[in-house]
Amino acid sequence: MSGYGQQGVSAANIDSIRPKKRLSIGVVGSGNWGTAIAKICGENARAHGHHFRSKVRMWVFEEEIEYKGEKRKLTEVFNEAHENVKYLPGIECPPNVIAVPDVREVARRADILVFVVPHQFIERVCDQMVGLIRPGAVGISCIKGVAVSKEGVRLYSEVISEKLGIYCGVLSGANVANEVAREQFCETTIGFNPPNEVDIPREQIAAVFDRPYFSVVSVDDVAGVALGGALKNVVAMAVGFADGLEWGGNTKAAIMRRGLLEMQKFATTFFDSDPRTMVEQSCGIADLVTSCLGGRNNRCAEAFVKTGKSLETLEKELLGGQLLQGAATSKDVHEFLLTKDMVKDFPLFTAVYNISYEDMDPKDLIIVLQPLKEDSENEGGTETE
Amino acid sequence: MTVAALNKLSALSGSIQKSFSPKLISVGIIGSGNWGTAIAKICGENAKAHPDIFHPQVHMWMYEEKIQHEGKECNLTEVFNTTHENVKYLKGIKCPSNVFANPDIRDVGSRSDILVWVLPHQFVVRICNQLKGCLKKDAVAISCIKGVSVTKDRVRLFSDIIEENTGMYCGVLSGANIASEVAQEKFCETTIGYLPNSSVNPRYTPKTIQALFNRPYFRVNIVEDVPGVALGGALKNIVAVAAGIIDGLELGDNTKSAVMRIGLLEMQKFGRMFFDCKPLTMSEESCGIADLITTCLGGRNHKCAVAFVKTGKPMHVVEQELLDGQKLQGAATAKEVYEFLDNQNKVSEFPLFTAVYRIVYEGLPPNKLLEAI
Repeated sequence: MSGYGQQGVSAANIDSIRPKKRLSIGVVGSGNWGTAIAKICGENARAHGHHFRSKVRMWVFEEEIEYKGEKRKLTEVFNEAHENVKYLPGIECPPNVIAVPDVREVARRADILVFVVPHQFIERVCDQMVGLIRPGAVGISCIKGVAVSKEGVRLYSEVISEKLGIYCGVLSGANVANEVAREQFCETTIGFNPPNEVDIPREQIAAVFDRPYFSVVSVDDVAGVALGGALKNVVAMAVGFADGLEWGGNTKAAIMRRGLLEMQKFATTFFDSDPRTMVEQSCGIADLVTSCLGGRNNRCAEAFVKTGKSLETLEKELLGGQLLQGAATSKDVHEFLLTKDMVKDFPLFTAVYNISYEDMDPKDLIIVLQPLKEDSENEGGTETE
Repeated sequence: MTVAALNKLSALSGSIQKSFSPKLISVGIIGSGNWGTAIAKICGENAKAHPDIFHPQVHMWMYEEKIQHEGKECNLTEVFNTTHENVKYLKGIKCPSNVFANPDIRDVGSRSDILVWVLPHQFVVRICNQLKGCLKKDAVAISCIKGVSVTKDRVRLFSDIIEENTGMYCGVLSGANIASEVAQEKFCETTIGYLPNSSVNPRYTPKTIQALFNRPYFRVNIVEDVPGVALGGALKNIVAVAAGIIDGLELGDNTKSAVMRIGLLEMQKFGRMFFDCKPLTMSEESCGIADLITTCLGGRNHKCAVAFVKTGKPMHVVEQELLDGQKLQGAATAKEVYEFLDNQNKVSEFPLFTAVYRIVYEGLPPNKLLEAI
């Protein structure tokens, strides 16, 4: 099926495009999301043989695992069983997906490099690939979120572009790795807007990922796609606080709506983002809804209210020590907005930060939803006699 | 006479003039179910909060019926006017004392400058006919009747029906609102579509309309897209049925979010195609995105659709069991919309709406929903 939306293109017309050459796909990363993506790429390399070389190389950081009573290398087990028994057990990948322990080999052979590594490893992995990239190659970053600091907001795709000297787009949407791997229907958005010298059409990039169960729309708005993945976690925290306080469905809907508009405002204020991306695409509205319905940000925020425990404690108890992304992002965003003197323009994001880090009472979230000063109370409503 | 005395007299004169100014706007409510009573409560609070704009008394038309109250048979209006509680339709909620239950609908009509319509849609035409000839010449209306009237040939807003039958300009209020939660003052937002033409008395500004409904717990945003506001309230129910089908099939939140997003775009497309609606009304306003979220995550459309899938029973049986025989709005709207689209030869452009119709009425297996869209 085709993706919807006034923006963007899908892979639907791929067969009407005559390819200039068959492109080789490489996947950098093999966690659950990386393996799920490699599975998709492998299926599509076979489905569109005119457009892609059959072999999809997936970089697998080499480690030794126990497999059927023996110590084996993870790459060997994968290439034999076509299953990532450590990070995505129970899911069979197509046989054309090959696990490669040497990231440089993956880099050297790929025309399309798909990055699916935890963001903290990006620079280190790119350093190993410098100088080895094929001319005309492009990247797609499936790393959700953005890097925020006081100096600015940087997309991971930009980090990759700078390090490797290639163009890099973004993929983000309402996706959970395990569900995608089990072929449960969902959609995603690709932000891909290359300069003229990049010779790969958007439809071909969409065709790398589009499956009957994984519907792809490609839009120009790279920043919007990336920011959606980051900022939705802040709003999911706010909804989690509301759940903890047992506020009704209408109140939560109001929080989501306000949150969505703040996401849109952030993207259009600090990047040249298309305002439709957040409110119409999977990386915006659908990912926001999914994150607010469940997910770790939502659950931890709810527990924070109900138990009174600190977020640090909850990160240990509920996330096995992993960082709670929504709280961390709200802090990054807050510090960034301070430098821009625009904290007041993002009251919901600021409230999440204040509740998470500055001991603001979660009940006071309601104040954010009720502006203290309102036009109709001061003008237009009073007639002069 | 001293200057001080003169100033005092002048101030007193101004005060007297304000108190009896014919410019004060009288508000009437047509309907006193749970939503009507919740709206009357809001209007009463605002009539008190803005004494410089609104006449203090709000008349709420209440269809007279006999009820048992504290062991005696009483008129519902008399109980309301004594206790300020609608003990039958919105039990436990105190309305402000300036809301008056009035069984005479023509009296309410003749008194009102702003008439707020909050009654089931099937009664609209009949009530309009009862009000003929007694309405103020330049009165305006706000319809809080969710949804639209759909036949094979056309889709009509209830606000348009009210305008045609009464001559009043009529705006629309719709949003992510549930009557009992609004009445309990749980925070929510709503959208009013209000775009008066030049024939409407300029005293009824958007800010005046906002002042009538806006409360700290009920936030009002006014937009010009009247059809968009009305359509949001109707079409979201179809999408809620689709979301319920996904939950019934246990396909997960990402699939449900995808269906909601696709549904939102079909809502937008329908509004744009047939009413020249602004696309952002659905995707940014409470009457669109927030109402869609609320309805898809809970509510009767969602609940019945889940039951329909899980039990395999036909929808009319589910309606009988879960709604005491009341019609499921989302299913009914899906049918009406399908028949309209069929008549317009546009069925293929609305695959989600069409799939919901086919699943509910034509026996398409629910698990075909994703293939269809």
